[in-house]
Amino acid sequence: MLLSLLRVTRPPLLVGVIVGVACVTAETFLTFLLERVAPSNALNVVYLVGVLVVSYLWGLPLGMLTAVASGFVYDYFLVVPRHAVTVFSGWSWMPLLIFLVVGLLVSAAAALMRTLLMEAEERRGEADLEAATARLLLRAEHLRAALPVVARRLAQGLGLPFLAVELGAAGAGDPDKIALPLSDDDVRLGTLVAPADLPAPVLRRLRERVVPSLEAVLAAACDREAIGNALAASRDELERVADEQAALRRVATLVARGVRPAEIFGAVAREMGLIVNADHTAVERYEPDRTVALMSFWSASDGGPGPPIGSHRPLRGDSLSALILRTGQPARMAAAEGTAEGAAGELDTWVRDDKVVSAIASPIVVEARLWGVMIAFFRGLDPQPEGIEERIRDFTELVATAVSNAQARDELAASRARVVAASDETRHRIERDLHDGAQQRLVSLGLQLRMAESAVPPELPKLREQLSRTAEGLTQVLEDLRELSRGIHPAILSKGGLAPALKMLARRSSVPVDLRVRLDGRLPERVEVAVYYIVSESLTNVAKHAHASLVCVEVDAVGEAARVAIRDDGKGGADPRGGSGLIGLLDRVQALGGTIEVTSPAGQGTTLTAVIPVSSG
Amino acid sequence: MPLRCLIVDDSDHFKDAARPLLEADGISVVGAASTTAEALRNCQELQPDVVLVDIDLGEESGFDLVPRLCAETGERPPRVILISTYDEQDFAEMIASSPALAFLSKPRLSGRAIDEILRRADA
Repeated sequence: MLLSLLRVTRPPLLVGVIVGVACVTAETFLTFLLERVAPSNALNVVYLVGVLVVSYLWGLPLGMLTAVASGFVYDYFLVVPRHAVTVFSGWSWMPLLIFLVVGLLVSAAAALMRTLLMEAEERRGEADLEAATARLLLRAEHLRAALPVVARRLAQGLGLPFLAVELGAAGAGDPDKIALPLSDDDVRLGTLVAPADLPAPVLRRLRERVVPSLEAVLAAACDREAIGNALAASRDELERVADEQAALRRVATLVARGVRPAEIFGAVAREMGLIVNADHTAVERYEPDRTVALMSFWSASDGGPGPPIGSHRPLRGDSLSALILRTGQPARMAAAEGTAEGAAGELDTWVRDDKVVSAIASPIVVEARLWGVMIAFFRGLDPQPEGIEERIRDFTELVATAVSNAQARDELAASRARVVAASDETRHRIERDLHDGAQQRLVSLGLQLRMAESAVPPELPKLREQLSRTAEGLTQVLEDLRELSRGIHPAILSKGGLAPALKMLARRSSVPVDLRVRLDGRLPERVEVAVYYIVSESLTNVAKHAHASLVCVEVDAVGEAARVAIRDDGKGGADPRGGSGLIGLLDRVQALGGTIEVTSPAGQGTTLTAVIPVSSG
Repeated sequence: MPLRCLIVDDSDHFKDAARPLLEADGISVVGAASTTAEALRNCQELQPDVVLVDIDLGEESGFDLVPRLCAETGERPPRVILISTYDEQDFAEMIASSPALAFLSKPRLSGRAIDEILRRADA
């Protein structure tokens, strides 16, 4: 109750005076009343209440005044002789002295309590400020941006005209300002800048209480920011790795899908350029005649078309490409400053960008042979990160795989084509040998037999008949041999070309054929043979399995490819994978770089389409 | 006067067998050739009535020879019959478009067969 009466600021002085007068007056009346039941010399205690109240609430001066007033009033009204001041003559100075001492002690105690109260108040305010500061600093996304807000709050909270919190050392040299260093374990974190003309207690309060808490919070905030930055950096690194992996995966997918190497080179140049942040990238192939061929080129900025793909340039002795060719190792090169002809020319022959000043290259090794080089060009001279060669190498390995795959594919196709060609060649030769050898001999024998038959005298009919039967048998053998021969290789194809050969097939087919042929002169032999066998095999299949009433055969070889379409109106449902005949055709067609496709929905007939490039022959 | 005949074929076996057969059938085989050039030369010199041309002349083709025989042998070109061990069906289109009178399968060769062809052509 007493404490709640005590405030940091005292009640108004006038109220104190009124309360003092009222107390003394009331106490006097009270003692008049009490005088009748109590001895009057004990009644001076009553006056202590007023002295206590006024001293407690209004402090020493008013307390003393009340004590003096109480002493004299008591003396005047209640000490005998009444209505006379006896303080200086009798013992009545004793109560006055007691009043003074009590007033003095109470007001001193009250003053002490008030000081404590004020300090507690200050501390509470400071704690609030500290909490607010901590909240602001620790929650801030960017520490630097939060500092002015914190400083303003601090200045408001402490009732100062201004304050500033800076990172690092600051505020020195300005006579109007005083710089209080903020450190954490001897590490200078920042500076609290305050007005220079602050009163000493305020300055002390800043030094002793504000600075330590600010240091603690600032240290925590700095740590937090450092951790945040580290997290962001590792997140960026993770993102970069993920980007790189995604780029590699994209290229690897292209490689796995076996798309054209030119497309892969283009994709690699672009993806690598983006990943290593290059300004230009190039993929080059070393040629046997000491030139390099450009396989792909990419530029970060749209600076017009790059050098034409596939163009050749001589390998300059001082270029990066030549260096890689010599060493077989990844290398980087920076343009010497002040080169008259421009940095790019010194680095490589392709880039026509005067701003390019450095380049990093990595060899492309295909099956243990240096095939080419991949180069990234940079406009900045600042050293590129350490592992960049590694990252470029990941891409060069993909290029190497793509090249190796393409070579393997080409070799396979070539070998397949050779196998087919060799087989055709052999069949052709066997057919010729049969025709020129055995068949001619048999024909001649037949003719001779017939002559012998006609020379037999009429009286030997049996011999005549026997010779006749032998001649017939020989003719039958010839027929069989002819059939066999035709199956081995169609002579009509080499003698008359595709159109008569197809007409022959149509004529021989047991199912009626609607044949439409568009041709422009002779085709390469391999293509003619392939088309012939496609039609021949299809007609055989239709006759065997389709139960068709008509086959429509269309051959169009006027353009750059021979297109064959064979449709029947049979029962369909044929398995396109089945049949060694079709597989043989597939080999033959693929060896020529063509395609073959069979659709055979049940009940809707069978359609075979084949496209064979003509130029490949 | 017997029919005068020239045989153009690159197979000696056949020529050796055909000559006595035709002679026995009353056809005079006045010459034989194995190549286009030889055939054209013999034809000019011997002026045969009929020329038997094998479709297959090794590297050369009887189909190419026939029009030349008709065009390059002066005012009275010989009548040409294509012969082969191949089936007529195989070369039907080419035979049809050739100026030759007809096709005669080699195993069926005889003086009567040639006479028939010539008679049909004259009719």
